[in-house]
Amino acid sequence: MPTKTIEIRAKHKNGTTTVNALITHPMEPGSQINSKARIARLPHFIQEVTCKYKEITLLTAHWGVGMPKNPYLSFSFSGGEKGDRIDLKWVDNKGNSDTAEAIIK
Amino acid sequence: MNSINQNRRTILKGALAVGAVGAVLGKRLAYANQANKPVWPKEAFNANTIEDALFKLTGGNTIIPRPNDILIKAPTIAENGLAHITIQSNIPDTESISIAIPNNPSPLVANFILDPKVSTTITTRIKIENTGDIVAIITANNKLYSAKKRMRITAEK
Repeated sequence: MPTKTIEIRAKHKNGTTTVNALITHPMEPGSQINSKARIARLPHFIQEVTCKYKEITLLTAHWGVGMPKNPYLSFSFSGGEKGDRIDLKWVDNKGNSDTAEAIIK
Repeated sequence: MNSINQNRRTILKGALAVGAVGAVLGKRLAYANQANKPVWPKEAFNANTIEDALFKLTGGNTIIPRPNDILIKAPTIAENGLAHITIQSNIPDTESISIAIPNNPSPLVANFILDPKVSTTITTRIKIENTGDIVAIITANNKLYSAKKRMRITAEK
Protein backbone atom coordinates (compact mmCIF):
# COMPACT_ATOMS: atom_id res chain seq x y z
CA MET A 1 0.00 0.00 0.00
CA PRO A 2 1.37 3.45 -0.84
CA THR A 3 2.31 5.70 2.03
CA LYS A 4 -0.31 8.29 1.09
CA THR A 5 -3.68 6.66 0.53
CA ILE A 6 -6.05 9.62 0.55
CA GLU A 7 -6.32 12.28 -2.10
CA ILE A 8 -8.64 14.97 -0.76
CA ARG A 9 -9.62 18.38 -2.08
CA ALA A 10 -12.06 20.93 -0.72
CA LYS A 11 -13.28 23.97 -2.60
CA HIS A 12 -15.43 26.83 -1.38
CA LYS A 13 -17.85 28.62 -3.69
CA ASN A 14 -20.93 30.76 -2.96
CA GLY A 15 -21.35 29.61 0.63
CA THR A 16 -20.95 25.90 0.06
CA THR A 17 -17.86 23.75 0.28
CA THR A 18 -17.43 20.73 -1.94
CA VAL A 19 -15.22 17.90 -0.75
CA ASN A 20 -13.77 15.34 -3.15
CA ALA A 21 -11.86 12.34 -1.87
CA LEU A 22 -10.19 9.41 -3.57
CA ILE A 23 -8.86 6.60 -1.40
CA THR A 24 -6.30 4.07 -2.64
CA HIS A 25 -7.37 0.71 -1.27
CA PRO A 26 -7.68 -2.81 -2.78
CA MET A 27 -11.29 -3.24 -1.49
CA GLU A 28 -10.98 -7.02 -1.84
CA PRO A 29 -14.45 -8.62 -1.59
CA GLY A 30 -13.05 -12.06 -0.80
CA SER A 31 -13.38 -15.33 -2.69
CA GLN A 32 -17.06 -15.67 -1.84
CA ILE A 33 -17.90 -13.34 -4.72
CA ASN A 34 -14.90 -13.97 -6.96
CA SER A 35 -15.42 -17.74 -7.29
CA LYS A 36 -13.03 -18.09 -10.23
CA ALA A 37 -10.04 -17.56 -7.96
CA ARG A 38 -8.59 -20.88 -6.86
CA ILE A 39 -6.97 -19.48 -3.76
CA ALA A 40 -9.41 -18.40 -1.11
CA ARG A 41 -8.99 -14.68 -0.60
CA LEU A 42 -10.01 -13.00 2.58
CA PRO A 43 -12.12 -9.87 2.39
CA HIS A 44 -10.18 -6.67 2.90
CA PHE A 45 -12.23 -3.53 2.59
CA ILE A 46 -12.86 -0.14 4.14
CA GLN A 47 -15.66 -0.24 6.66
CA GLU A 48 -15.89 3.30 7.87
CA VAL A 49 -15.02 6.72 6.49
CA THR A 50 -15.53 9.83 8.57
CA CYS A 51 -15.14 13.42 7.51
CA LYS A 52 -14.78 16.15 10.12
CA TYR A 53 -14.87 19.92 10.00
CA LYS A 54 -14.27 21.90 13.22
CA GLU A 55 -15.08 18.92 15.49
CA ILE A 56 -18.39 18.30 13.67
CA THR A 57 -18.67 14.93 11.96
CA LEU A 58 -20.09 15.97 8.62
CA LEU A 59 -20.33 12.53 7.13
CA THR A 60 -19.99 8.96 8.31
CA ALA A 61 -19.93 6.39 5.55
CA HIS A 62 -20.25 2.68 6.22
CA TRP A 63 -19.15 0.61 3.27
CA GLY A 64 -19.56 -3.04 2.40
CA VAL A 65 -17.79 -5.34 -0.03
CA GLY A 66 -19.84 -3.91 -2.92
CA MET A 67 -17.68 -0.81 -3.12
CA PRO A 68 -15.06 -0.93 -5.88
CA LYS A 69 -11.29 -0.73 -5.70
CA ASN A 70 -9.97 2.78 -5.01
CA PRO A 71 -13.30 4.25 -3.88
CA TYR A 72 -14.30 7.82 -4.66
CA LEU A 73 -16.57 10.07 -2.66
CA SER A 74 -17.90 13.57 -3.17
CA PHE A 75 -20.27 15.68 -1.12
CA SER A 76 -20.85 19.31 -0.22
CA PHE A 77 -21.90 21.20 2.87
CA SER A 78 -23.09 24.72 3.64
CA GLY A 79 -20.49 26.87 5.37
CA GLY A 80 -16.77 26.45 5.53
CA GLU A 81 -14.26 29.19 4.79
CA LYS A 82 -11.12 29.40 2.75
CA GLY A 83 -8.15 28.31 4.82
CA ASP A 84 -10.18 26.04 7.16
CA ARG A 85 -9.25 22.43 7.67
CA ILE A 86 -11.15 19.29 6.67
CA ASP A 87 -10.14 15.91 8.13
CA LEU A 88 -10.85 12.53 6.61
CA LYS A 89 -10.24 9.15 8.17
CA TRP A 90 -10.83 5.59 7.00
CA VAL A 91 -10.72 2.31 8.90
CA ASP A 92 -10.77 -1.11 7.21
CA ASN A 93 -11.79 -4.54 8.49
CA LYS A 94 -8.18 -5.47 9.33
CA GLY A 95 -7.92 -2.47 11.60
CA ASN A 96 -5.69 -0.45 9.28
CA SER A 97 -6.49 3.21 9.04
CA ASP A 98 -5.26 6.44 7.55
CA THR A 99 -6.04 10.10 7.96
CA ALA A 100 -5.58 13.10 5.70
CA GLU A 101 -6.40 16.76 5.88
CA ALA A 102 -7.23 19.35 3.28
CA ILE A 103 -7.25 23.11 3.43
CA ILE A 104 -10.37 24.62 1.86
CA LYS A 105 -9.46 26.61 -1.24
CA MET B 1 1.06 -33.83 50.30
CA ASN B 2 -2.64 -34.11 49.91
CA SER B 3 -3.37 -30.81 51.61
CA ILE B 4 -0.77 -28.97 49.50
CA ASN B 5 -2.43 -30.29 46.38
CA GLN B 6 -5.80 -29.17 47.67
CA ASN B 7 -4.43 -25.70 48.29
CA ARG B 8 -2.92 -25.60 44.87
CA ARG B 9 -6.28 -26.49 43.39
CA THR B 10 -8.17 -23.77 45.23
CA ILE B 11 -5.56 -21.19 44.30
CA LEU B 12 -5.72 -22.24 40.65
CA LYS B 13 -9.50 -22.17 40.66
CA GLY B 14 -9.49 -18.74 42.25
CA ALA B 15 -7.04 -17.41 39.70
CA LEU B 16 -9.16 -18.80 36.87
CA ALA B 17 -12.32 -17.22 38.28
CA VAL B 18 -10.64 -13.81 38.65
CA GLY B 19 -9.36 -14.10 35.10
CA ALA B 20 -12.82 -14.88 33.77
CA VAL B 21 -14.42 -11.96 35.63
CA GLY B 22 -11.67 -9.67 34.35
CA ALA B 23 -12.26 -10.77 30.78
CA VAL B 24 -16.02 -10.14 31.06
CA LEU B 25 -15.45 -6.72 32.62
CA GLY B 26 -12.92 -5.84 29.95
CA LYS B 27 -15.41 -6.72 27.22
CA ARG B 28 -18.12 -4.65 28.89
CA LEU B 29 -15.80 -1.65 29.08
CA ALA B 30 -14.83 -2.04 25.44
CA TYR B 31 -18.50 -2.01 24.45
CA ALA B 32 -19.16 1.04 26.62
CA ASN B 33 -16.35 2.91 24.86
CA GLN B 34 -17.75 2.02 21.46
CA ALA B 35 -21.27 3.12 22.32
CA ASN B 36 -20.61 6.80 21.56
CA LYS B 37 -19.49 6.45 17.98
CA PRO B 38 -21.40 4.65 15.23
CA VAL B 39 -20.17 1.09 14.81
CA TRP B 40 -20.00 -0.64 11.44
CA PRO B 41 -23.39 -2.43 11.17
CA LYS B 42 -22.16 -5.95 10.49
CA GLU B 43 -25.60 -7.59 10.49
CA ALA B 44 -27.02 -5.12 7.99
CA PHE B 45 -24.13 -5.69 5.57
CA ASN B 46 -24.49 -9.47 5.91
CA ALA B 47 -28.25 -9.46 5.29
CA ASN B 48 -29.56 -11.21 2.18
CA THR B 49 -32.39 -8.86 1.22
CA ILE B 50 -32.69 -5.09 1.11
CA GLU B 51 -35.64 -5.11 3.53
CA ASP B 52 -33.71 -7.19 6.04
CA ALA B 53 -30.61 -5.00 5.70
CA LEU B 54 -32.58 -1.82 6.29
CA PHE B 55 -34.49 -3.32 9.18
CA LYS B 56 -31.18 -4.13 10.85
CA LEU B 57 -29.80 -0.73 10.00
CA THR B 58 -32.69 1.51 11.00
CA GLY B 59 -35.37 -0.67 12.55
CA GLY B 60 -37.84 0.50 9.90
CA ASN B 61 -40.00 -2.08 8.18
CA THR B 62 -41.80 -0.38 5.35
CA ILE B 63 -40.06 1.32 2.46
CA ILE B 64 -42.16 3.94 0.69
CA PRO B 65 -41.33 4.36 -3.02
CA ARG B 66 -40.78 8.04 -3.87
CA PRO B 67 -39.21 8.04 -7.34
CA ASN B 68 -40.01 11.73 -7.91
CA ASP B 69 -38.17 13.04 -4.86
CA ILE B 70 -35.05 10.94 -5.09
CA LEU B 71 -32.92 11.45 -8.15
CA ILE B 72 -30.39 8.83 -9.19
CA LYS B 73 -27.93 9.99 -11.78
CA ALA B 74 -26.25 6.94 -13.27
CA PRO B 75 -25.40 5.76 -16.76
CA THR B 76 -28.00 3.40 -18.31
CA ILE B 77 -25.26 1.29 -19.81
CA ALA B 78 -22.00 0.54 -18.05
CA GLU B 79 -19.32 -1.38 -19.84
CA ASN B 80 -16.93 -2.63 -17.22
CA GLY B 81 -19.12 -2.89 -14.15
CA LEU B 82 -18.01 0.38 -12.59
CA ALA B 83 -20.50 3.20 -12.37
CA HIS B 84 -20.22 6.78 -11.22
CA ILE B 85 -23.50 7.57 -9.51
CA THR B 86 -25.04 10.64 -7.90
CA ILE B 87 -27.95 10.40 -5.52
CA GLN B 88 -29.91 13.51 -4.68
CA SER B 89 -32.69 13.53 -2.12
CA ASN B 90 -35.33 16.26 -2.11
CA ILE B 91 -37.03 14.86 0.97
CA PRO B 92 -36.82 17.22 3.98
CA ASP B 93 -34.79 16.12 7.05
CA THR B 94 -32.79 13.51 5.18
CA GLU B 95 -30.61 11.78 7.75
CA SER B 96 -28.92 9.09 5.73
CA ILE B 97 -28.54 7.81 2.19
CA SER B 98 -28.06 4.11 1.51
CA ILE B 99 -27.17 2.41 -1.74
CA ALA B 100 -28.18 -1.18 -2.42
CA ILE B 101 -27.96 -3.57 -5.34
CA PRO B 102 -30.58 -6.35 -5.06
CA ASN B 103 -28.59 -8.74 -7.30
CA ASN B 104 -25.56 -8.76 -4.99
CA PRO B 105 -25.21 -11.62 -2.47
CA SER B 106 -25.20 -8.95 0.23
CA PRO B 107 -27.32 -6.15 -1.24
CA LEU B 108 -26.29 -3.25 1.00
CA VAL B 109 -23.34 -1.47 -0.60
CA ALA B 110 -22.95 1.74 1.35
CA ASN B 111 -24.65 3.84 3.97
CA PHE B 112 -23.90 7.54 4.36
CA ILE B 113 -24.95 9.25 7.60
CA LEU B 114 -25.22 12.99 7.04
CA ASP B 115 -24.96 15.98 9.33
CA PRO B 116 -27.79 18.55 8.83
CA LYS B 117 -25.15 20.91 7.35
CA VAL B 118 -24.38 18.53 4.53
CA SER B 119 -26.36 18.84 1.33
CA THR B 120 -28.33 15.72 0.46
CA THR B 121 -26.35 14.90 -2.66
CA ILE B 122 -23.72 12.19 -2.64
CA THR B 123 -21.51 11.20 -5.54
CA THR B 124 -19.59 7.96 -5.44
CA ARG B 125 -18.47 5.04 -7.54
CA ILE B 126 -20.01 1.59 -7.21
CA LYS B 127 -19.33 -1.85 -8.58
CA ILE B 128 -22.20 -3.45 -10.50
CA GLU B 129 -21.42 -6.75 -12.15
CA ASN B 130 -24.76 -7.83 -13.62
CA THR B 131 -27.64 -6.01 -15.30
CA GLY B 132 -30.11 -4.95 -12.66
CA ASP B 133 -31.43 -2.23 -10.41
CA ILE B 134 -29.65 0.22 -8.17
CA VAL B 135 -31.79 1.17 -5.20
CA ALA B 136 -31.32 4.35 -3.20
CA ILE B 137 -32.91 4.44 0.24
CA ILE B 138 -33.34 7.66 2.19
CA THR B 139 -34.00 7.79 5.92
CA ALA B 140 -35.93 10.86 7.03
CA ASN B 141 -37.96 11.29 10.24
CA ASN B 142 -37.67 7.54 10.97
CA LYS B 143 -39.26 6.69 7.64
CA LEU B 144 -37.69 5.00 4.66
CA TYR B 145 -38.09 6.22 1.10
CA SER B 146 -36.68 4.56 -1.96
CA ALA B 147 -36.10 5.00 -5.66
CA LYS B 148 -34.48 2.72 -8.17
CA LYS B 149 -32.81 2.84 -11.54
CA ARG B 150 -32.06 0.00 -13.91
CA MET B 151 -28.57 -0.34 -15.31
CA ARG B 152 -27.47 -2.53 -18.17
CA ILE B 153 -24.03 -4.10 -18.04
CA THR B 154 -22.73 -4.99 -21.47
CA ALA B 155 -19.56 -6.87 -20.53
CA GLU B 156 -20.86 -9.40 -18.03
CA LYS B 157 -18.34 -11.50 -16.17
